[in-house]
Amino acid sequence: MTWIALVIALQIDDHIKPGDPCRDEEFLRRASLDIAGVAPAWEDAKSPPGDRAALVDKLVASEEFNLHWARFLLELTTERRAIRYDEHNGRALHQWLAAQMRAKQPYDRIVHALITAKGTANEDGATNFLLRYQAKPSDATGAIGRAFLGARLQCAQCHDHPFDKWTRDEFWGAAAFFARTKRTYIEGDDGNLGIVDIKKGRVMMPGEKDDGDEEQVEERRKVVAPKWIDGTAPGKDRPMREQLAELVTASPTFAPSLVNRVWARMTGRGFVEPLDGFGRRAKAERPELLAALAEGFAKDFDLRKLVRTIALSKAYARAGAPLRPLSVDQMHATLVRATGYHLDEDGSGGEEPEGGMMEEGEDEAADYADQEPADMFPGAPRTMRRSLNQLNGGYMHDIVEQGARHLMKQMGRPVTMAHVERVYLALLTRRPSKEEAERLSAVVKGAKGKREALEDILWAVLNSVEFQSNH
Amino acid sequence: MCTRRDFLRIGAGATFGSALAARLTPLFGQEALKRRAKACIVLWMAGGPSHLETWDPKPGKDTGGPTKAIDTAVKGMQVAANLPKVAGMAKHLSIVRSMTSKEADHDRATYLLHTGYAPQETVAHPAIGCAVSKEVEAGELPSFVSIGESYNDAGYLGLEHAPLVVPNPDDPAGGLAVPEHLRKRRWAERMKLVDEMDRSFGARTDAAQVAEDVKVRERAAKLLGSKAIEAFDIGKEEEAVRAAYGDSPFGRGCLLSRRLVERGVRFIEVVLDGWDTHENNFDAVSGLCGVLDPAYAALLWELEERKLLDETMVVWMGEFGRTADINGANGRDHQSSVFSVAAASFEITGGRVIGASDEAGREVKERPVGVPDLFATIYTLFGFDPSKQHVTKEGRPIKLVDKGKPVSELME
Repeated sequence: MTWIALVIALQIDDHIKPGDPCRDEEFLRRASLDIAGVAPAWEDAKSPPGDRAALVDKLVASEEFNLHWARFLLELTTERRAIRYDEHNGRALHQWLAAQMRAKQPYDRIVHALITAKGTANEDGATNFLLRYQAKPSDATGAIGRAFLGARLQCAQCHDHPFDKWTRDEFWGAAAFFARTKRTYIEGDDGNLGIVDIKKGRVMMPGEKDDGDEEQVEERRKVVAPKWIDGTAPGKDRPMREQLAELVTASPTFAPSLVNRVWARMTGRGFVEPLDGFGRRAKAERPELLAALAEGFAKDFDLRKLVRTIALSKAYARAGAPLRPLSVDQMHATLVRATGYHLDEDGSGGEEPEGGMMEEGEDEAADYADQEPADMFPGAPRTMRRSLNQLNGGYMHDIVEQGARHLMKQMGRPVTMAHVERVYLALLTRRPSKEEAERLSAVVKGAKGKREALEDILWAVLNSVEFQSNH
Repeated sequence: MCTRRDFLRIGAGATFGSALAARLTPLFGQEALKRRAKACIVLWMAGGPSHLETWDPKPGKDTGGPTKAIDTAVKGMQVAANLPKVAGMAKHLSIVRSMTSKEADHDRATYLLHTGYAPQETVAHPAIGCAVSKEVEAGELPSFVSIGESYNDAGYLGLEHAPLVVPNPDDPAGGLAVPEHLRKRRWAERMKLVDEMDRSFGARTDAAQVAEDVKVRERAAKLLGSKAIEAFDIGKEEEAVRAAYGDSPFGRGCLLSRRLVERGVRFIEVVLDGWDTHENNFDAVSGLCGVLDPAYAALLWELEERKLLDETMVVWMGEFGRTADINGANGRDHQSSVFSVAAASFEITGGRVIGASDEAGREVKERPVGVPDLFATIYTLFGFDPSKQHVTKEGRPIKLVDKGKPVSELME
């Protein structure tokens, strides 16, 4: 039995509520949003395919997949400072990650490249992982722990971990692999910030703050020798970061932690929670399922295959999945696709550009994807600020007005139920039910087919929980 | 005594009479401490404001640069010549010249001066505004409003206590005032439509979760539909009042903060960015003070006149100070070893200087005040116990302030 077959065959039990499989239209929306980061186009929503494997294959092969999962890795490696930050170039990192996705680079090679990156922030996108943490040995080690091993090593930075068994010595031993890594301004065309390896360097471990006496802390500082948390000391023959990258990608939680994150992303809940809770005493729910997925993933670290496997599992395809708020990017991509809305550079609305926001390698397109969505949907989902903006933000009114104009240009006037159906297909991947159709038809009639009827309906759909979540 | 009208007529550079300038003595002692502050306004100087060009000038010293000192309305208390109007309000101000911290990186220090804690990888501490929001009962308006953006995450307290952020004080009502053409029939129609959609969706899926989402929307919709949002419309103020705060987004933010305090908002932060003066420090700070000075002075004046200063704290701070040494670009770099904050409130006996930096302005000379001490003071003045513990989702207990001692001189 292949590992894929194994997972598909696995029955759902207490980890996930059992349930009937979802309908094709539900699967189409769910999978499109999860895999390609955008709800399906209305044309595709008209007749949801019954062949789910073919659909998933198409989605994982799309350019949208590359951008969406590059964004996933961007958030994983930079945490909450994905794009806007002075000390690293988040956009260059996103572009680099998207290029890795296009090239079908295995996940372990991507991580290897991030840990060993050299060069400048703007030209060598991969350097921006370490730059995000100012290439500080302790911060970079903490980030590697969280992002790639699912473990909070950094707790051991200051004290021996109370719950796990990592010690300060182990943490600082790992950090010492960065002893010869330096963040510096590199001369060049634009002389920008970058990462270089230096010949000599050491990492000092601070003294313990047991009595809070700062002077003693200073006195007790000591040089630490590099040693990985499993006890391996690096050889002298090769660069230390290269050896660190090998140790990280060979660590026992390296594959499970990524599998856990992707699973959580796609089903709403990880086997291990919190996602960086792979301590030495961590307990997974359904450990055999996590282990099977991780074992399969570790064979070739093919992210597409992992996403495909999860998408085709019974657990993923069940009816009544938990409601997960759409990310700003999913929301924005769907709005652009559905309404033709886009922002001009000055932030004002404009007509739809050919090819939309997903045009490959275009700086302008990246601007839409990276900046404006967060401006349009400020704050976190389910907060007052987000809600106020969705109800009454300037962008929202623009989207609604432009979306209605756009549809009427395509479908003619007056507004008919065909227009309304198009809105439903493009945003909700379904047609209105009979009751809804009656109600909405009254709205259209009440406004005598004027554009405002379509605006009101569009506004209501955009504000509905159904639109704003994946389910 | 200076009347409101006088105040509005006073031009740039003028200071107020010193009839009331005598340092107020602690009239009530412990009695007075039993009163509680209702609100706090933080004027946040993003980038790290130079103490040497504001509260702690060193004229005549090498490190002082060209900055001159001026007398204030309080005898013996001097501030930099950049703040002439604020100098006139000195009777309300206590200056702490001996703030000190170990964080000289913008992000880390911004976090510290918002939460009272240095950043830790394993826990996200709430900004003080969020912590205050947690302690008080919510009124019609949100308890915490942030005018401009800074670090104001609610951390382990949860999103419920995140601030309402008004990103642009020039358009504070943006996103709050429902456009005219929608206000009448269509707004109600839209609300009804989306409500029906959600109800039917909830019935088909997870009713409890949908209801929770709807609750947030209803709270927002209630605010949009309420009279209370008039608070955000500074157009309702007299022209002369608006002019007194200065023609700047920060000035309008300060005016807005006064309107919000009047309407029961408990914590407001107003951000003035641009203090990271690595180059051309003296011109840059003097420009920034041109914005700060009228707004700050007008805010104190109005709060006092409306008897709001009796129950409102106004705290001026940034993430750190600037180096005593002037760099090659005529700028100053980051310095956290000593910097200044200023505070005004009913309890903070005005007209005094607490602590001192050394002659150069490089280190604390006397009475070091740590950031946790400052935070413990603010919580105490609100009537909250700074040692109160919250428990994070992971089960870890964390105090509002760790090891901070309220600054007694600020509460006498």
